[in-house]
Amino acid sequence: MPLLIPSPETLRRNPEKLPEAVAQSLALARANRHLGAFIELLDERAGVSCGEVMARIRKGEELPLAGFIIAVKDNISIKDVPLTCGSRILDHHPATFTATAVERLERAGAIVIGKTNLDEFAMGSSNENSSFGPARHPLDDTRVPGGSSGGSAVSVAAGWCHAALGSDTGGSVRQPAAFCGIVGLKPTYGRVSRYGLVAFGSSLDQISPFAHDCTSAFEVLHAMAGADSHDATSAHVKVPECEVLSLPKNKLRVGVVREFVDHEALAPSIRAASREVCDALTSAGHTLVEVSLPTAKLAIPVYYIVATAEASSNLARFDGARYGKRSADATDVNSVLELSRGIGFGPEVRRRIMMGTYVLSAGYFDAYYRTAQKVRRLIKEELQAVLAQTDVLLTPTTPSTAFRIGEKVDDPVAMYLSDIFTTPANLAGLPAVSIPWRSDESGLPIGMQLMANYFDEELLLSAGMELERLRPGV
Amino acid sequence: MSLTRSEVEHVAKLARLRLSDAELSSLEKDLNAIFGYFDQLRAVDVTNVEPLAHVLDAVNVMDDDVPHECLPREIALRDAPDRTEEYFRFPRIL
Amino acid sequence: MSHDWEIVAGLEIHAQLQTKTKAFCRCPNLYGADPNTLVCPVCLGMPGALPVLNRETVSQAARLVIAVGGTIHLHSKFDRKNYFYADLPKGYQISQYDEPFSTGGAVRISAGGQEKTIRITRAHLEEDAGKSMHLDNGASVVDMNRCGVPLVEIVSEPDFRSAEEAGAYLTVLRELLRFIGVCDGNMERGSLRCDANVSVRPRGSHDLRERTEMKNLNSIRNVERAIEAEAERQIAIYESGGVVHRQTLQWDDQTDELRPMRVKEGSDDYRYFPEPDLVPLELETEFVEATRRAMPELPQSRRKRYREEFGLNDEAVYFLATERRLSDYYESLLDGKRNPVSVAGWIQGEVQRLLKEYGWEIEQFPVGATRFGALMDSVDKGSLNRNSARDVLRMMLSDDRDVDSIASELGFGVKQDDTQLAEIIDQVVTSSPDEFERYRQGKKNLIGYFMGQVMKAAGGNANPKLLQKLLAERLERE
Repeated sequence: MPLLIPSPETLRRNPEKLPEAVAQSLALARANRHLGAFIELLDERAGVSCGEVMARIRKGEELPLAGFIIAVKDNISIKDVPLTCGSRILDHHPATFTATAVERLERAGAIVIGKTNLDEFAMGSSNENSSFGPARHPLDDTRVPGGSSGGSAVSVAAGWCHAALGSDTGGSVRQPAAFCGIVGLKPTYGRVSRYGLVAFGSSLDQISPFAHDCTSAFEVLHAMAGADSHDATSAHVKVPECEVLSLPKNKLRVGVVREFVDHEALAPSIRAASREVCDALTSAGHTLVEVSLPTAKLAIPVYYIVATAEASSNLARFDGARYGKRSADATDVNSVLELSRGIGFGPEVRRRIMMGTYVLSAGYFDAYYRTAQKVRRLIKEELQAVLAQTDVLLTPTTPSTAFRIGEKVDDPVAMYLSDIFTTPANLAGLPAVSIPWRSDESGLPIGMQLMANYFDEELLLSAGMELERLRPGV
Repeated sequence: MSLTRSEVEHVAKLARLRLSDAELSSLEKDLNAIFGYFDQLRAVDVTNVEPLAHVLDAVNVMDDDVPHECLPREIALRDAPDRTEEYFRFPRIL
Repeated sequence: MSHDWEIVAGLEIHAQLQTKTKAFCRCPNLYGADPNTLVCPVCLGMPGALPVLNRETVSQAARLVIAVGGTIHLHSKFDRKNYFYADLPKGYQISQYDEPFSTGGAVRISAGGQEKTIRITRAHLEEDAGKSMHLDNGASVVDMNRCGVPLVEIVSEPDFRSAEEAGAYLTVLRELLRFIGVCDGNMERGSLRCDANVSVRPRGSHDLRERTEMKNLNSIRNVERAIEAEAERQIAIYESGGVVHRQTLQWDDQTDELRPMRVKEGSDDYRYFPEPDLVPLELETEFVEATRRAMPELPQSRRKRYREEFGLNDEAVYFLATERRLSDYYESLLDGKRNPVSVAGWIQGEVQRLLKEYGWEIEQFPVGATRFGALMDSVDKGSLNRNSARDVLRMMLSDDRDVDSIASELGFGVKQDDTQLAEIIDQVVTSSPDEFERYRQGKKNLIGYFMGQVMKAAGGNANPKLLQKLLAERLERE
């Protein structure tokens, strides 16, 4: 879908057009409320930011992201702005600090227009689990945009924003990117500070950008990446000097994951698209290498055990004690907890907290959690081994295109299986990106995923740029 | 691996979730399906494999013992569901 | 207590470290501040906040472990201990479970006339929780200032066989932690807290029976009394054919009674798992060795030395080897050359008096080791007598000039001019011909009379040693 506001380059060259573009972006979001993309629009705050950016430009400051109008997923904290995580339990809690990633983007000149809808606490693959209603696919509002970062995906895909932040724990940015036909990049674990991202699966989470193309995604990443003293897991690895992406300098060695391109769950259109991508890469002179990831098929159980275990602990702080909602019926501290949490959390969140608590509980810890951690190491090592012989790995991003709202809600296992291709990158901590390839017969977008080695986002996105160049109809 | 209803209740207690009977039944069903699916992990040979807790091998990340600016109390207590002038307040802690 | 039974007890001590900031955030680590003012998103458990380890926590913990002779594990990691409580904002405590900071160590104690070693099982790092208080109207309030303060939990083996031993251990440990400057050991304020596990068994048996846990023991005395009371209670149960059940008790020091405590529900399943937000510790051997080298000599070693090499009595030994700064001051005054007994006398006497009078701690005492040393030397040489020295010292408290300048300003004879004194002696001898004659005839003890007279004539300022020498010489002449 086309960008409906002026491009960042236009706005950078003509900063006086910024206020109008910001107003336009907000108006578009408002006019399309039925798509459920935003939980809160920040008109006043965006106006202030706009003024500040323009003043800094006038003073001659270099702002790498001047002209960027962005949205932020509502599990990422912005000081004094209500934070909901798509949940009733936070009760529009006004955040007490701003996430480092957002601070850096704003310092680079980006303007935030609002907080986007999401599956509650980032738990879901369809944005149907939000207490604020579902988000809807911009091309077909009977369909899901994907999740958990559905709202952010819509804001970019519908053309109202240049980029948006989501979070990716098991595919929550790549999958909606694929469903909506935009770029969704999950950086290497530790590349972007998690300070201010409401934790779901702490060893898996990364704040991840959506954008219209690889170049913009790289620009956004560049502005927010780098070690942060507030996040002990953020990596002290240099952010690449180069701020502007280019096509790969050499021909690529592309690993094609045997178990994935032929996966039984693959919809025919996606299977066909995978073959097209392979052919296009070969024709362009790149080398395709078949690789095998035998343990990767266990990524789903491993992911769900580890992620829910961490989540059950991360969500323990939502207790009606210091912020958010407290049940009025509570008579003692235990019932404060139990009732507030019982009513404040939606069913998917409750289910995952139960799963996580169970796998960590005495008697089950070894069989589930510890075993999952061991298999996780095997998956990581397998991926590292194949990436040692290739530049990037290629897989479909999702087994199907965007499904209908309500289609998978009653079958949690089926819903979890849609993460089959995306979870391995989170388990290993590798960077991965979904690139839109083309649409299927019904006009629904199909995305292809590339994975690269640790901190190799530049190569990853160059390869992505190559896919953009090779895609049909361009 | 089969979860009994009383185990489900115990887990709900550990997680401080007060659930209705209907929810407990539904969860019992869901969790059994989910864990039935997860049991395929048992087939993997994990002898001599170390559990993985962190994907990067960073160690010793520490900060210097220098004080920062604290949150003003008004902000800290701003969103408290119940408070006094100076404290977070609860019904009786037993 | 009946001699048929024996107490078997272990202590778990929580010591708050004296870092400037908290364990996982940079809020100040201070007691007594206005409620909820030493807080930030991290220690409040706000959504999206993350912990970052304070490196000083590691340094102080290392000193603590070395002081008790434990083994620091070069590799250790953090774990989450999951439970719900109003004073625990994240719903979990960051602690260490299966890979703790250290294991081993021991503390030598003296109780019931016997020396004994209490073994330490392990010591690990963790964070403190907030403080909850009950209001009269039935509600409770929480202050998060304390939340996140670094703790070291020290777990002992169940080596205690009497309440007295527990008290002795606490005393030694407390003193040691204060000595090395990692904890101020204030049990009333809670910077040092103690839980006790107590069981009993027939004397001579080796089995371990069911134990109970006791909390809220906020003084050494209460620890001892609680242990005794609980042992009695358990013995009474066994003797009446009953069974002791595991439970948690708290000591009510108003009524001197043990009361059962409501156990935190679900507290028996903490669901420990590795803390994903903190990376592991991999300490270098060199760090441990450097820490060890920088350790001060510990009290027990100093006491041995003071007793055996210096010959100080028990009171002096205890006085001078318990508080680090005082002990260091004493040693700096010795300077390898001064008489330990004499210096000890000064500290226990004059210095102690002055500290009490002004309400000072030794670190506030304005007279440094160099000047004080010079003062003591003057007295030893004889250029100042003890009384004059006291006056000089008093002036030195607010006047930072050297000893000689102050002494001469106060008019104390320091300029020991032989000639001047010889003149005075001559005058005195000349004006006391009868005494002189009697001295010459054999009444040698008249030298005391002459000493007094010369001293009077010299305005009390004569150097006694010099005077004696010159006088003796003079009296031998015509």
